Amino acid sequence: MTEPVYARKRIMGNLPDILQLLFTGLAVGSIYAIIAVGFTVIFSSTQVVNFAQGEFVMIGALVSYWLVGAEHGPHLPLLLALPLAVLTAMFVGSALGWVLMRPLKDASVTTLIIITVGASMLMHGIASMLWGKDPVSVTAFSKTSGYSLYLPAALTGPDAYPVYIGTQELWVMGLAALIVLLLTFFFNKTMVGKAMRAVSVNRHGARLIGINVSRMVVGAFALSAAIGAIAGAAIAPISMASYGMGTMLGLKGFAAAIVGGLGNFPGSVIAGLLLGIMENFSATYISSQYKDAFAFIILLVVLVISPNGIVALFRRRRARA
Amino acid sequence: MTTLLDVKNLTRAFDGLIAVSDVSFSITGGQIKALIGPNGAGKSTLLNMVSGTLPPTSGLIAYQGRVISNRPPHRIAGYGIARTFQNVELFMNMTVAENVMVGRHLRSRGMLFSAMFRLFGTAAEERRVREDALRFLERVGLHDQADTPASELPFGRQRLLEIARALATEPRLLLLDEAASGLSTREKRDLVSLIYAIRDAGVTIFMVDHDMDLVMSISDEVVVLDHGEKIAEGTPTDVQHDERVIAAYLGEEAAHA
Repeated sequence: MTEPVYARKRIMGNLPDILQLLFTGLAVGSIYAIIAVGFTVIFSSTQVVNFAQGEFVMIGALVSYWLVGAEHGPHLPLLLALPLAVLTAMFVGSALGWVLMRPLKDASVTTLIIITVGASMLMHGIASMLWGKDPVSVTAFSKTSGYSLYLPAALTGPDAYPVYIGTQELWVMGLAALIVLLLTFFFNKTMVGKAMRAVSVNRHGARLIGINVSRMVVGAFALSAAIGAIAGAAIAPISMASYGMGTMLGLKGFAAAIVGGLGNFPGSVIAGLLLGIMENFSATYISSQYKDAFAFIILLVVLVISPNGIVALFRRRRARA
Repeated sequence: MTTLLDVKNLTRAFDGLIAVSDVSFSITGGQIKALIGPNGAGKSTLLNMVSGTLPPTSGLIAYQGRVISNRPPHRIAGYGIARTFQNVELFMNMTVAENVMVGRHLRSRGMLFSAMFRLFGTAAEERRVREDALRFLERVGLHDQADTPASELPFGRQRLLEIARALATEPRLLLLDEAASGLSTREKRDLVSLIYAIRDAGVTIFMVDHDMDLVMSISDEVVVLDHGEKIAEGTPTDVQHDERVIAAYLGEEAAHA
């Protein structure tokens, strides 16, 4: 008789925990989603997987750290520092895109991918010289660090913890949503966005109606670097910033891009969010030591079940039904 | 009428194999000119050199007095030379209207960075470009299918869409690569009146085609290639009575028999 009541109480008692994990998972997932979208933007215009994508995130984080909070930095306001950090990353991204399109334009895609790995190491090295090897803590965007959200006691019992809603996490989610909206608008409603889509499906046709393909590709790298840098600046107050932060974030974003079906824009966003949430839950309920491994376990499972990503899996189901 | 395109001593070799050899001819503004020849005569190679996708080995191409044979394809498109392809090269991930809108890329002001920073100004630009695109679709009779995905159009209509997209770049010279191939008799008839309408609107036409009846009935002048060499040039009647042309075609037929 008491058994079911006890079970119900236990689940409801966990509700704040579950919501908490969902919330922080969504924030991390938003970052993975933005990075995955960065991979997608470059992949669809060049078929190149840009392994330097994570370094754009690092550049965004460290440059905005230096401009705002560093001891010997200029102490700029965030509103000025963020655009400057984004511009720095865009400059580096354009340079990488230019190198891949001009001196190396006849190289195979595999060669270009290896070059991006090299570029990633180079940026890594330069960053470690400029900012040192120790992680730095970064000022949050807002002064208020967060809000405690108490759930109704009727749901959780009288002595349950509140759900903590961090402001920086809200910033991360808001910026991610804004980026997704702006990119959707850009690719569907502007002429340049359409030209980029044209280049991604038919380079030959695009060239012959007067589109400068190299310029579009350099633009895709700049765009991708910009969104990576925003992700970096937004996550840095939560995770700290260091020269090496791009590697793991880049790989997780890469996993999300693959899980979403490489080149698939909505797929990357969904996969990024899911990856963040699943990683957070598995770290809490299974083992936190293997936190980083879960993203790649999920990647392997998805590749075995549906090599074209989760969106392809749903599409196939629907086609069969 | 003045000379629009000048092809001088144009040669293209592929690893020693000469695909086009020392070919010269010119296209007068306002005419319909055709390039014919048996399979492997070098027609596509020549067309690719004019549109800039293939650099010539030697010789030159001048358009309105300007040498274009060393320019990249997007520049050549910018000068006013558009083309269509035998196996249509559309943007299959877009709608019919969007395909033509991308064709307006050259003539619209949306630069890359201004598009990133002035998103809302470019939205107004986009509406204007869409209206332009609908006008071009109307010319080929596709305006009622503007929002259909390009991939869902039947082949004959995809070809019309490609012509509309080419016209959207506002060319003075339109290169049609096998525009009639794969079309039904009725679609071919429509294509002929479309080609006349385009010519009457002031666009010069240079077409490569296998359909002899079509070429002979609509062209003002014909250039005949065989084994990479120009063997004849003149009005359709002249060319049809030229001994070397008859030999080239009969020889081919004899070889197939």
